[in-house]
Amino acid sequence: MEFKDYYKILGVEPDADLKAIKTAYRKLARKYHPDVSDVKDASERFKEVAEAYEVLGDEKKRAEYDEIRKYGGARGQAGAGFGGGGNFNDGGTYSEQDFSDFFSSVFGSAGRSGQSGRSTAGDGRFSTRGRDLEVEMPIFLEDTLSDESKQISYQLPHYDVNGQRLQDITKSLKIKIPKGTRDGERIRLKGQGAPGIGNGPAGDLYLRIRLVPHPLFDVEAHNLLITVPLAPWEAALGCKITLPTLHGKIQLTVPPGSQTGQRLRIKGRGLPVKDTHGDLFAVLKVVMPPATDDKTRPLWQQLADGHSFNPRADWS
Amino acid sequence: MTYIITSHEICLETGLTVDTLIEVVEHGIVEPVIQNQQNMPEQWTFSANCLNTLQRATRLQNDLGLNWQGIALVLDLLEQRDQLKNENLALLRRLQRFEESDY
Repeated sequence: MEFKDYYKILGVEPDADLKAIKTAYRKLARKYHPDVSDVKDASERFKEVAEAYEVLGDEKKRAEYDEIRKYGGARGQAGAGFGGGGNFNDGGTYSEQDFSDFFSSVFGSAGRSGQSGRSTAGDGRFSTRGRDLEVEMPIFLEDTLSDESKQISYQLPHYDVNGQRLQDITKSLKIKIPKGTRDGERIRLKGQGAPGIGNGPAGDLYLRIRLVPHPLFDVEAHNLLITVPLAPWEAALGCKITLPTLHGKIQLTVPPGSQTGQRLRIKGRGLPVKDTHGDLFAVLKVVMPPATDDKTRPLWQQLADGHSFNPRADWS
Repeated sequence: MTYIITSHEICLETGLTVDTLIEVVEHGIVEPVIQNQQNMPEQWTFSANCLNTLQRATRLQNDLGLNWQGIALVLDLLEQRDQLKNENLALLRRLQRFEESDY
């Protein structure tokens, strides 16, 4: 088991007073709170910080910890610790969840303060509702066109009769992704979260929908955008092109004198909204041919000679 | 699949009392689906997303010691931040389609 240097975690000196510890904790808690933080391993960092504060912020626990620390941290962890009892996690706070083995070995699993335990004593044992889980679910744009069934696998924590956490098990579920699902939406699956402890009911599973970026289409609310590269002469003279949409290919007429950045609207070819569809916008992008060879140079020259067009008129 | 959640379920799952739930609603942190003046809090229903918001709210309260007014502000700003982040990402992707040129 790893010895935890709580002083180092909070970034304070071992002789720091309670005020300094509190300040350090508050600063780090704001920085790493998983509901607020952008930092990658925020959840892990926050747990560490909360655990450190749980000990150093409490005079009695801190004294006990200092004692162990004095002897190099290698010894003393055998101390049975006080407490015991159930390991009640109710998802009410991050700081209550899953403190390290080191913490449990010193202070016992009930050594935490500030429990908001909603436990009800049923048959003399703890009964607690299982934790809610949130799983990210990447889906393709195509999956939102109709009600699609998708398979997901996720890690489900489970516990023995005493509430001790055992190794996670992998669970698979088939899920219907409703038509018109948007990026960031949550789908709630009742009772598919972590199992309850004792007689407690299981928590819920939340699927957070992530739309995987599409190689051709961008999403703007319910509308889709597709960038259409055009040769200069196609833009100048107009053309008919075959345009891919999410619902198959269509013919698109590009009017003469088209411009880069111009949008052509194709009605009803966007994403589904209730009973209708958003639109598809073809965004034009005029592209030069790769190189000017001897055959085309005179043609460009002819254009240059015959035109008084100044693309930088705004500069003068 | 459930999209609607009752206030009873919310209280059960977040550990909030009905009184606290009323306070939270008064701060606009979550809104019942049908806001009817005659409607008793016990009959309120919420969209399932509200549960997540409330769980975040209670965590912020317990872990950071914020009050409801502060929590409402934090959640608003976080939502704005996420929205801006998403918008930024989308615009960046569109910009890349115009800038990267393999022709």
